[in-house]
Amino acid sequence: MKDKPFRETLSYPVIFMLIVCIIFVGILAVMYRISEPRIEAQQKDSYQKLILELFSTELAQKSNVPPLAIMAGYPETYNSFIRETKLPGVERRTFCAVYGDSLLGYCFDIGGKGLWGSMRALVALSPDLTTMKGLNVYSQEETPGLGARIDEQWFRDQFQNLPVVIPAESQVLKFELIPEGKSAETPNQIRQITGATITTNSVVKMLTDEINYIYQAAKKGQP
Amino acid sequence: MSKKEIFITSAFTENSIWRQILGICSTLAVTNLMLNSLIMGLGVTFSLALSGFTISLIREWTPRTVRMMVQTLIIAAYVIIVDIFLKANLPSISKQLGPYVGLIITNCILMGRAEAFASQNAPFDSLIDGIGAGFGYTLVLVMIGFIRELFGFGSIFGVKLLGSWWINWSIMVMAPSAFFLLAMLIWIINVKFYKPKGR
Repeated sequence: MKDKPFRETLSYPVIFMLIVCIIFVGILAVMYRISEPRIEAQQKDSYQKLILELFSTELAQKSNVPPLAIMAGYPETYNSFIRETKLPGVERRTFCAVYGDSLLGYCFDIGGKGLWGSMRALVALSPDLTTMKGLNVYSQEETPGLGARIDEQWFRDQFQNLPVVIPAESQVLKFELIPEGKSAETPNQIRQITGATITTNSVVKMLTDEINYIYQAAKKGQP
Repeated sequence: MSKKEIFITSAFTENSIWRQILGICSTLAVTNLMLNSLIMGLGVTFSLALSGFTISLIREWTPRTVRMMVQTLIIAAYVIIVDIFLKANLPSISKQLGPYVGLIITNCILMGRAEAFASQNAPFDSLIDGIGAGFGYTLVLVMIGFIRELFGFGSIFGVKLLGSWWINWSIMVMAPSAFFLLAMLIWIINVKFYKPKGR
Protein backbone atom coordinates (compact mmCIF):
# COMPACT_ATOMS: atom_id res chain seq x y z
CA MET A 1 0.00 0.00 0.00
CA LYS A 2 1.35 3.40 -0.98
CA ASP A 3 1.60 6.10 1.68
CA LYS A 4 -0.90 8.95 1.31
CA PRO A 5 0.66 12.38 0.69
CA PHE A 6 0.94 14.38 3.91
CA ARG A 7 -1.70 16.91 2.82
CA GLU A 8 -4.34 14.22 2.68
CA THR A 9 -3.65 12.79 6.10
CA LEU A 10 -5.89 13.50 9.05
CA SER A 11 -3.17 15.28 10.99
CA TYR A 12 -2.57 17.92 8.29
CA PRO A 13 -5.67 20.05 9.07
CA VAL A 14 -4.92 19.81 12.79
CA ILE A 15 -1.33 20.93 12.38
CA PHE A 16 -2.34 23.64 9.91
CA MET A 17 -4.97 25.01 12.29
CA LEU A 18 -2.50 24.94 15.15
CA ILE A 19 0.10 26.93 13.22
CA VAL A 20 -2.46 29.52 12.07
CA CYS A 21 -3.71 29.86 15.65
CA ILE A 22 -0.22 30.36 17.05
CA ILE A 23 0.64 33.01 14.45
CA PHE A 24 -2.52 35.07 14.91
CA VAL A 25 -2.74 34.76 18.67
CA GLY A 26 0.92 35.79 18.78
CA ILE A 27 0.24 38.89 16.68
CA LEU A 28 -2.71 39.84 18.89
CA ALA A 29 -0.80 39.27 22.11
CA VAL A 30 2.03 41.53 20.98
CA MET A 31 -0.43 44.16 19.76
CA TYR A 32 -2.32 44.07 23.05
CA ARG A 33 0.79 44.27 25.21
CA ILE A 34 1.99 47.29 23.25
CA SER A 35 -1.29 49.19 23.63
CA GLU A 36 -2.07 48.06 27.19
CA PRO A 37 -0.28 50.88 29.08
CA ARG A 38 -1.95 53.44 26.81
CA ILE A 39 -5.43 52.00 27.28
CA GLU A 40 -5.00 51.83 31.04
CA ALA A 41 -3.59 55.35 31.25
CA GLN A 42 -6.51 56.68 29.24
CA GLN A 43 -9.07 54.92 31.43
CA LYS A 44 -7.38 56.22 34.58
CA ASP A 45 -7.22 59.77 33.19
CA SER A 46 -10.87 59.92 32.24
CA TYR A 47 -11.91 58.43 35.58
CA GLN A 48 -9.86 60.90 37.59
CA LYS A 49 -11.06 63.82 35.48
CA LEU A 50 -14.66 62.91 36.30
CA ILE A 51 -13.89 62.99 40.03
CA LEU A 52 -12.10 66.30 39.69
CA GLU A 53 -15.00 67.72 37.70
CA LEU A 54 -17.45 66.96 40.50
CA PHE A 55 -15.50 69.23 42.82
CA SER A 56 -14.23 71.71 40.23
CA THR A 57 -16.80 74.46 40.97
CA GLU A 58 -16.07 74.37 44.67
CA LEU A 59 -12.32 74.14 44.23
CA ALA A 60 -12.49 77.05 41.80
CA GLN A 61 -14.37 79.21 44.31
CA LYS A 62 -11.84 78.44 47.04
CA SER A 63 -8.84 79.17 44.90
CA ASN A 64 -10.39 82.07 42.94
CA VAL A 65 -9.91 80.66 39.46
CA PRO A 66 -12.51 79.59 36.88
CA PRO A 67 -13.58 75.90 37.07
CA LEU A 68 -12.09 75.33 33.62
CA ALA A 69 -8.67 76.24 34.97
CA ILE A 70 -9.00 73.51 37.58
CA MET A 71 -9.80 71.01 34.82
CA ALA A 72 -7.00 72.32 32.59
CA GLY A 73 -4.58 71.88 35.46
CA TYR A 74 -5.08 68.11 35.47
CA PRO A 75 -3.16 66.03 36.63
CA GLU A 76 -1.47 68.47 39.06
CA THR A 77 -4.79 69.76 40.42
CA TYR A 78 -6.04 66.21 40.88
CA ASN A 79 -2.94 65.19 42.79
CA SER A 80 -3.09 68.18 45.08
CA PHE A 81 -6.83 68.19 45.89
CA ILE A 82 -8.15 64.64 45.52
CA ARG A 83 -7.02 61.54 47.34
CA GLU A 84 -8.32 58.03 47.72
CA THR A 85 -9.58 57.26 51.19
CA LYS A 86 -11.71 54.84 53.16
CA LEU A 87 -14.74 55.46 55.34
CA PRO A 88 -15.06 52.82 58.04
CA GLY A 89 -17.92 50.48 57.20
CA VAL A 90 -18.50 51.72 53.63
CA GLU A 91 -17.60 49.08 51.07
CA ARG A 92 -17.34 51.43 48.09
CA ARG A 93 -14.33 52.95 46.41
CA THR A 94 -14.06 56.35 48.10
CA PHE A 95 -12.24 59.55 47.27
CA CYS A 96 -12.16 62.83 49.15
CA ALA A 97 -11.53 66.39 48.04
CA VAL A 98 -9.39 68.47 50.34
CA TYR A 99 -8.53 72.17 50.01
CA GLY A 100 -5.84 73.20 52.47
CA ASP A 101 -7.10 71.79 55.74
CA SER A 102 -10.79 71.72 54.95
CA LEU A 103 -12.58 68.65 53.66
CA LEU A 104 -14.86 69.58 50.76
CA GLY A 105 -16.61 66.26 50.41
CA TYR A 106 -16.47 62.62 49.47
CA CYS A 107 -16.86 60.91 46.12
CA PHE A 108 -18.13 57.34 45.91
CA ASP A 109 -18.02 54.84 43.07
CA ILE A 110 -21.54 53.42 42.90
CA GLY A 111 -23.37 51.04 40.61
CA GLY A 112 -26.87 50.00 39.60
CA LYS A 113 -28.99 48.47 36.86
CA GLY A 114 -29.94 50.37 33.72
CA LEU A 115 -32.27 49.45 30.89
CA TRP A 116 -29.84 47.29 28.87
CA GLY A 117 -27.12 46.58 31.37
CA SER A 118 -25.40 47.77 34.47
CA MET A 119 -24.23 51.31 34.96
CA ARG A 120 -21.57 52.80 37.15
CA ALA A 121 -21.39 56.33 38.43
CA LEU A 122 -19.43 58.67 40.64
CA VAL A 123 -21.46 60.58 43.19
CA ALA A 124 -20.07 63.44 45.26
CA LEU A 125 -21.48 64.04 48.73
CA SER A 126 -20.86 66.71 51.34
CA PRO A 127 -18.60 65.78 54.31
CA ASP A 128 -21.66 64.94 56.45
CA LEU A 129 -23.04 62.82 53.56
CA THR A 130 -26.41 64.57 53.53
CA THR A 131 -26.07 66.79 50.45
CA MET A 132 -25.34 65.60 46.96
CA LYS A 133 -22.78 67.73 45.17
CA GLY A 134 -22.88 66.12 41.78
CA LEU A 135 -23.26 63.02 39.68
CA ASN A 136 -21.22 61.60 36.80
CA VAL A 137 -22.27 58.36 35.14
CA TYR A 138 -19.05 56.93 33.74
CA SER A 139 -20.16 53.59 32.37
CA GLN A 140 -23.56 52.79 30.91
CA GLU A 141 -25.16 50.88 28.06
CA GLU A 142 -28.30 52.95 27.58
CA THR A 143 -29.84 53.75 24.18
CA PRO A 144 -27.78 56.44 22.42
CA GLY A 145 -29.86 59.59 22.06
CA LEU A 146 -32.41 58.50 24.66
CA GLY A 147 -31.21 56.88 27.87
CA ALA A 148 -27.63 57.86 27.16
CA ARG A 149 -28.68 61.47 27.66
CA ILE A 150 -28.08 60.97 31.39
CA ASP A 151 -24.65 62.30 30.44
CA GLU A 152 -26.11 65.67 29.48
CA GLN A 153 -25.35 68.69 31.58
CA TRP A 154 -28.94 69.75 32.33
CA PHE A 155 -29.78 66.30 33.66
CA ARG A 156 -26.69 66.13 35.85
CA ASP A 157 -27.18 69.68 37.08
CA GLN A 158 -30.37 68.56 38.84
CA PHE A 159 -28.25 66.57 41.25
CA GLN A 160 -26.00 69.47 42.18
CA ASN A 161 -26.22 70.76 45.75
CA LEU A 162 -29.27 68.65 46.38
CA PRO A 163 -30.04 67.78 50.00
CA VAL A 164 -30.68 64.06 49.76
CA VAL A 165 -30.67 62.81 53.34
CA ILE A 166 -33.05 64.18 55.93
CA PRO A 167 -30.91 63.80 59.07
CA ALA A 168 -33.91 63.80 61.44
CA GLU A 169 -35.42 60.80 59.68
CA SER A 170 -32.01 59.48 58.61
CA GLN A 171 -33.61 58.52 55.30
CA VAL A 172 -32.99 59.35 51.71
CA LEU A 173 -35.37 61.86 50.18
CA LYS A 174 -38.10 60.47 47.93
CA PHE A 175 -37.54 61.75 44.40
CA GLU A 176 -40.48 62.74 42.28
CA LEU A 177 -40.22 62.51 38.50
CA ILE A 178 -41.72 65.28 36.37
CA PRO A 179 -41.82 65.71 32.56
CA GLU A 180 -38.72 67.05 30.84
CA GLY A 181 -40.50 70.20 29.65
CA LYS A 182 -41.62 71.29 33.12
CA SER A 183 -39.46 73.08 35.64
CA ALA A 184 -38.90 71.75 39.13
CA GLU A 185 -40.66 73.52 41.99
CA THR A 186 -39.10 71.61 44.85
CA PRO A 187 -35.56 70.20 44.96
CA ASN A 188 -36.74 66.59 45.04
CA GLN A 189 -38.45 66.94 41.66
CA ILE A 190 -36.31 65.47 38.90
CA ARG A 191 -37.03 66.24 35.25
CA GLN A 192 -36.99 62.90 33.51
CA ILE A 193 -35.66 62.28 30.03
CA THR A 194 -38.41 62.02 27.41
CA GLY A 195 -38.49 58.53 25.94
CA ALA A 196 -36.20 57.13 28.62
CA THR A 197 -38.42 56.67 31.66
CA ILE A 198 -36.80 53.39 32.63
CA THR A 199 -33.31 54.87 32.51
CA THR A 200 -34.32 57.90 34.60
CA ASN A 201 -35.98 55.61 37.11
CA SER A 202 -32.87 53.44 37.21
CA VAL A 203 -30.64 56.44 37.96
CA VAL A 204 -32.95 57.61 40.73
CA LYS A 205 -33.18 54.09 42.17
CA MET A 206 -29.42 53.66 42.05
CA LEU A 207 -28.93 56.96 43.85
CA THR A 208 -31.55 56.25 46.50
CA ASP A 209 -30.24 52.75 47.23
CA GLU A 210 -26.58 53.60 47.21
CA ILE A 211 -26.74 56.86 49.16
CA ASN A 212 -28.97 55.15 51.69
CA TYR A 213 -26.41 52.38 52.02
CA ILE A 214 -23.47 54.78 52.28
CA TYR A 215 -25.21 56.97 54.86
CA GLN A 216 -26.31 54.05 57.04
CA ALA A 217 -22.99 52.20 56.72
CA ALA A 218 -20.97 55.27 57.58
CA LYS A 219 -23.18 55.95 60.60
CA LYS A 220 -22.69 52.40 61.83
CA GLY A 221 -18.97 52.55 61.15
CA GLN A 222 -18.56 55.66 63.29
CA PRO A 223 -16.80 54.98 66.58
CA MET B 1 -11.83 41.09 -14.43
CA SER B 2 -9.76 44.24 -14.07
CA LYS B 3 -9.15 45.76 -10.62
CA LYS B 4 -11.58 48.57 -11.37
CA GLU B 5 -14.30 46.12 -12.36
CA ILE B 6 -13.76 44.11 -9.17
CA PHE B 7 -14.15 47.29 -7.11
CA ILE B 8 -17.26 48.48 -8.91
CA THR B 9 -18.88 45.05 -8.76
CA SER B 10 -18.38 44.56 -5.04
CA ALA B 11 -19.12 48.19 -4.09
CA PHE B 12 -22.13 48.91 -6.30
CA THR B 13 -23.58 46.28 -8.61
CA GLU B 14 -23.30 43.49 -6.03
CA ASN B 15 -23.41 45.79 -2.98
CA SER B 16 -23.52 43.75 0.21
CA ILE B 17 -26.39 45.68 1.77
CA TRP B 18 -28.82 46.66 -0.95
CA ARG B 19 -28.11 43.70 -3.25
CA GLN B 20 -27.22 40.85 -0.94
CA ILE B 21 -29.02 42.11 2.22
CA LEU B 22 -26.05 41.23 4.44
CA GLY B 23 -24.73 43.12 7.47
CA ILE B 24 -28.15 44.52 8.34
CA CYS B 25 -27.78 44.26 12.13
CA SER B 26 -24.95 46.75 12.36
CA THR B 27 -26.63 48.98 9.78
CA LEU B 28 -29.60 49.29 12.10
CA ALA B 29 -27.59 49.61 15.29
CA VAL B 30 -24.86 52.19 14.78
CA THR B 31 -26.30 54.59 12.23
CA ASN B 32 -27.86 57.18 14.56
CA LEU B 33 -24.71 59.28 14.44
CA MET B 34 -22.65 60.05 11.33
CA LEU B 35 -19.32 59.72 13.12
CA ASN B 36 -20.16 56.28 14.52
CA SER B 37 -21.32 55.16 11.07
CA LEU B 38 -18.12 56.34 9.45
CA ILE B 39 -15.81 54.74 12.03
CA MET B 40 -17.81 51.50 11.87
CA GLY B 41 -17.55 51.56 8.08
CA LEU B 42 -13.81 52.11 8.20
CA GLY B 43 -13.40 49.30 10.74
CA VAL B 44 -15.34 46.89 8.53
CA THR B 45 -13.42 48.00 5.41
CA PHE B 46 -10.09 47.45 7.14
CA SER B 47 -11.08 44.00 8.43
CA LEU B 48 -12.63 43.02 5.08
CA ALA B 49 -9.67 44.05 2.98
CA LEU B 50 -6.96 42.53 5.14
CA SER B 51 -8.80 39.34 6.05
CA GLY B 52 -9.62 38.84 2.35
CA PHE B 53 -5.97 39.34 1.48
CA THR B 54 -4.73 36.92 4.16
CA ILE B 55 -7.33 34.25 3.44
CA SER B 56 -6.49 34.41 -0.23
CA LEU B 57 -2.76 34.27 0.52
CA ILE B 58 -3.01 30.95 2.34
CA ARG B 59 -5.87 29.50 0.27
CA GLU B 60 -3.60 27.01 -1.53
CA TRP B 61 -2.57 25.40 1.75
CA THR B 62 -5.85 25.66 3.61
CA PRO B 63 -7.50 22.24 3.97
CA ARG B 64 -11.13 22.34 2.76
CA THR B 65 -12.36 20.71 5.94
CA VAL B 66 -11.21 23.47 8.27
CA ARG B 67 -11.41 26.47 5.93
CA MET B 68 -14.35 28.09 7.73
CA MET B 69 -12.53 27.87 11.05
CA VAL B 70 -9.45 29.42 9.54
CA GLN B 71 -11.49 32.23 7.96
CA THR B 72 -13.27 33.02 11.23
CA LEU B 73 -9.98 33.04 13.09
CA ILE B 74 -8.37 35.44 10.62
CA ILE B 75 -11.41 37.74 10.58
CA ALA B 76 -11.54 37.74 14.39
CA ALA B 77 -7.86 38.63 14.62
CA TYR B 78 -8.25 41.70 12.40
CA VAL B 79 -11.40 42.81 14.19
CA ILE B 80 -9.66 42.58 17.57
CA ILE B 81 -6.84 44.69 16.11
CA VAL B 82 -9.42 47.36 15.16
CA ASP B 83 -10.94 47.13 18.65
CA ILE B 84 -7.59 47.53 20.40
CA PHE B 85 -6.66 50.41 18.09
CA LEU B 86 -9.88 52.28 18.87
CA LYS B 87 -9.55 51.66 22.61
CA ALA B 88 -6.00 53.00 22.63
CA ASN B 89 -6.42 55.95 20.29
CA LEU B 90 -10.09 56.95 20.08
CA PRO B 91 -11.49 55.99 23.50
CA SER B 92 -14.64 58.11 23.25
CA ILE B 93 -15.68 56.52 19.95
CA SER B 94 -14.76 53.08 21.25
CA LYS B 95 -17.07 53.70 24.18
CA GLN B 96 -19.95 54.79 21.95
CA LEU B 97 -19.61 51.90 19.54
CA GLY B 98 -19.46 49.59 22.55
CA PRO B 99 -19.93 45.94 21.65
CA TYR B 100 -20.57 46.61 17.95
CA VAL B 101 -16.89 46.63 17.01
CA GLY B 102 -16.44 43.14 18.42
CA LEU B 103 -19.54 42.10 16.55
CA ILE B 104 -17.89 42.89 13.20
CA ILE B 105 -16.63 39.30 13.53
CA THR B 106 -20.16 38.03 13.06
CA ASN B 107 -20.95 40.52 10.28
CA CYS B 108 -22.17 38.33 7.43
CA ILE B 109 -20.40 40.48 4.84
CA LEU B 110 -16.98 39.34 6.05
CA MET B 111 -17.73 35.64 5.97
CA GLY B 112 -19.59 36.14 2.69
CA ARG B 113 -16.68 37.82 0.93
CA ALA B 114 -14.21 35.31 2.39
CA GLU B 115 -16.18 32.33 1.06
CA ALA B 116 -17.37 33.84 -2.21
CA PHE B 117 -14.27 35.72 -3.28
CA ALA B 118 -11.10 35.50 -1.21
CA SER B 119 -10.98 31.71 -1.04
CA GLN B 120 -10.98 31.49 -4.86
CA ASN B 121 -9.09 34.55 -6.09
CA ALA B 122 -5.62 36.07 -5.98
CA PRO B 123 -4.56 38.02 -2.85
CA PHE B 124 -4.43 41.45 -4.47
CA ASP B 125 -7.81 40.99 -6.17
CA SER B 126 -9.26 39.96 -2.79
CA LEU B 127 -7.83 43.09 -1.20
CA ILE B 128 -9.57 45.24 -3.83
CA ASP B 129 -12.77 43.24 -3.43
CA GLY B 130 -12.65 43.81 0.34
CA ILE B 131 -12.09 47.53 -0.04
CA GLY B 132 -14.95 47.69 -2.54
CA ALA B 133 -17.39 45.78 -0.35
CA GLY B 134 -16.33 47.89 2.64
CA PHE B 135 -16.83 51.07 0.63
CA GLY B 136 -20.32 49.99 -0.40
CA TYR B 137 -21.16 49.17 3.21
CA THR B 138 -19.78 52.48 4.51
CA LEU B 139 -21.70 54.37 1.82
CA VAL B 140 -25.03 52.92 2.97
CA LEU B 141 -24.22 53.49 6.65
CA VAL B 142 -23.27 57.11 6.07
CA MET B 143 -26.37 57.75 3.95
CA ILE B 144 -28.68 56.38 6.65
CA GLY B 145 -26.62 58.06 9.37
CA PHE B 146 -26.97 61.41 7.59
CA ILE B 147 -30.76 61.28 7.64
CA ARG B 148 -31.00 59.86 11.17
CA GLU B 149 -28.60 62.37 12.73
CA LEU B 150 -30.08 65.32 10.85
CA PHE B 151 -33.66 64.60 11.90
CA GLY B 152 -32.90 62.96 15.24
CA PHE B 153 -30.40 65.44 16.60
CA GLY B 154 -30.54 68.37 14.14
CA SER B 155 -26.81 68.01 13.57
CA ILE B 156 -24.25 66.45 11.21
CA PHE B 157 -21.01 65.04 12.63
CA GLY B 158 -22.05 66.67 15.92
CA VAL B 159 -22.27 70.17 14.39
CA LYS B 160 -25.69 71.71 15.02
CA LEU B 161 -27.26 72.58 11.66
CA LEU B 162 -30.91 73.08 12.51
CA GLY B 163 -31.71 75.90 14.91
CA SER B 164 -33.65 75.89 18.15
CA TRP B 165 -36.95 75.86 16.20
CA TRP B 166 -36.26 72.29 15.23
CA ILE B 167 -37.87 69.59 17.38
CA ASN B 168 -35.82 66.37 17.32
CA TRP B 169 -37.62 63.27 16.09
CA SER B 170 -37.04 60.62 18.77
CA ILE B 171 -38.01 57.88 16.33
CA MET B 172 -34.96 58.70 14.18
CA VAL B 173 -32.69 57.94 17.10
CA MET B 174 -34.22 54.55 17.72
CA ALA B 175 -33.57 51.40 15.69
CA PRO B 176 -37.00 51.23 13.94
CA SER B 177 -36.22 54.32 11.87
CA ALA B 178 -33.22 52.54 10.38
CA PHE B 179 -35.59 49.77 9.26
CA PHE B 180 -37.80 52.25 7.42
CA LEU B 181 -34.89 54.17 5.91
CA LEU B 182 -33.04 51.03 4.83
CA ALA B 183 -36.20 49.60 3.27
CA MET B 184 -36.82 52.84 1.37
CA LEU B 185 -33.21 52.98 0.22
CA ILE B 186 -33.31 49.41 -1.07
CA TRP B 187 -36.62 50.12 -2.78
CA ILE B 188 -35.39 53.28 -4.52
CA ILE B 189 -32.14 51.67 -5.66
CA ASN B 190 -33.91 48.58 -6.93
CA VAL B 191 -36.45 50.58 -8.92
CA LYS B 192 -33.86 52.94 -10.35
CA PHE B 193 -30.93 50.66 -11.15
CA TYR B 194 -32.05 47.07 -11.40
CA LYS B 195 -34.41 45.56 -13.97
CA PRO B 196 -37.06 43.30 -12.47
CA LYS B 197 -36.55 39.64 -13.34
CA GLY B 198 -38.92 37.61 -15.52
CA ARG B 199 -40.38 40.37 -17.65
